[in-house]
Amino acid sequence: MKINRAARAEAKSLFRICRTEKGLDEERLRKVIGIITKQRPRGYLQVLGRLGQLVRLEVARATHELVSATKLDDGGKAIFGVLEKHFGKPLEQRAEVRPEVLGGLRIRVGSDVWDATIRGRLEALARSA
Amino acid sequence: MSGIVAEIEAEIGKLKSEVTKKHTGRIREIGDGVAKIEGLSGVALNEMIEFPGGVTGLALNLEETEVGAIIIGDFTHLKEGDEVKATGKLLQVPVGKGLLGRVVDALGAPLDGKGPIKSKESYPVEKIAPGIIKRQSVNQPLQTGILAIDAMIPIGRGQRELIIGDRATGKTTVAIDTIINQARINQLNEKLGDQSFRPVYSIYVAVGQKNSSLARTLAVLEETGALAYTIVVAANASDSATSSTWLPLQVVPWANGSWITEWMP
Repeated sequence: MKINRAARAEAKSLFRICRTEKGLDEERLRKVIGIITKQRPRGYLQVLGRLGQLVRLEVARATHELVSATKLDDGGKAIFGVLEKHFGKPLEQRAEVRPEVLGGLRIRVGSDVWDATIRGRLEALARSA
Repeated sequence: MSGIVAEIEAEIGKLKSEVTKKHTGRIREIGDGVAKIEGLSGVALNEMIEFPGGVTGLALNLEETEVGAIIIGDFTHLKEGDEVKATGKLLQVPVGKGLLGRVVDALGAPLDGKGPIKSKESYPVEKIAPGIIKRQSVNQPLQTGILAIDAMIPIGRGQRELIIGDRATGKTTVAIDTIINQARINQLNEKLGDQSFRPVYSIYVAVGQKNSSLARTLAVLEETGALAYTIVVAANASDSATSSTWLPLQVVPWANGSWITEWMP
């Protein structure tokens, strides 16, 4: 869907309304979406599309993701605690088990990745060869 | 056998194993050699982006929520959702005498099957050219070997000269003849052992040509021994769909060729 400039600006202002100092206010966001779908202003589909995109990016930015080869004993609680202390409260915490990483941990916070997996190191070794 | 094991262990020991922070993003949309990427916070304009499969991209359009990048290379295997990494390096190409006698693509990767390029240095493609005052004045002629040109419109080293002409009138021939003539002068002075002589190295940038035309030119250069003093930068018509549409591959070689030239002594 092509989103025009006016819809982008409208979606951005609505997104700003839904943001507080602590982060995204889910309740307020639901209210805003409810009002838009009820009133159906001009180009509302584009506005909603862009708003959805901005929310998705905000969630991705404030998501702490942990990837390990096997299930962690505490489900990664200790590491998530350290991450929360360092980066603030996340909107989502995700602990994934991917046996293909072989060992070690891979931590993602927004678009920043710290890769300490054996697979990552092997790939680095292959690149340097 | 234990020697080999020790060597492998030493190689692994040399490898940096510390955890480093990387900026990553995901492809949201891709087509015609242009990718829209979400994430990649902190990426700089003209920064190289690493796509899966060792393909390089160039961040050209920085927007509020996404980054527009052109892909320099084969993009057919890339798809939506693929993870990409920011390299932290601006677009740069290998430079140096290791490139002489080689055929390279827009990013300085070898195309001639003669193994990797032996170059330790890299040079940024986007760099402000030195001002006119800083440049050395033209004080030495450059012989094309074509008597009519050398007599009537002599060219100096460091000058720019444009060859304009209709199709199949011999523009490439004039350029190739000049390259061959300069190589001949270089060889002659090498034989004489003149220490003060500064050889002229040529860079032939083939943009949008047929592979067969380039192969013919290369054969001529090889036959005359001029290839040893020449670097060929090629972005041919068959390289990728991008080459024949928006042509990122064909834009970069101009800069690439000029920067390789600038580095040369």
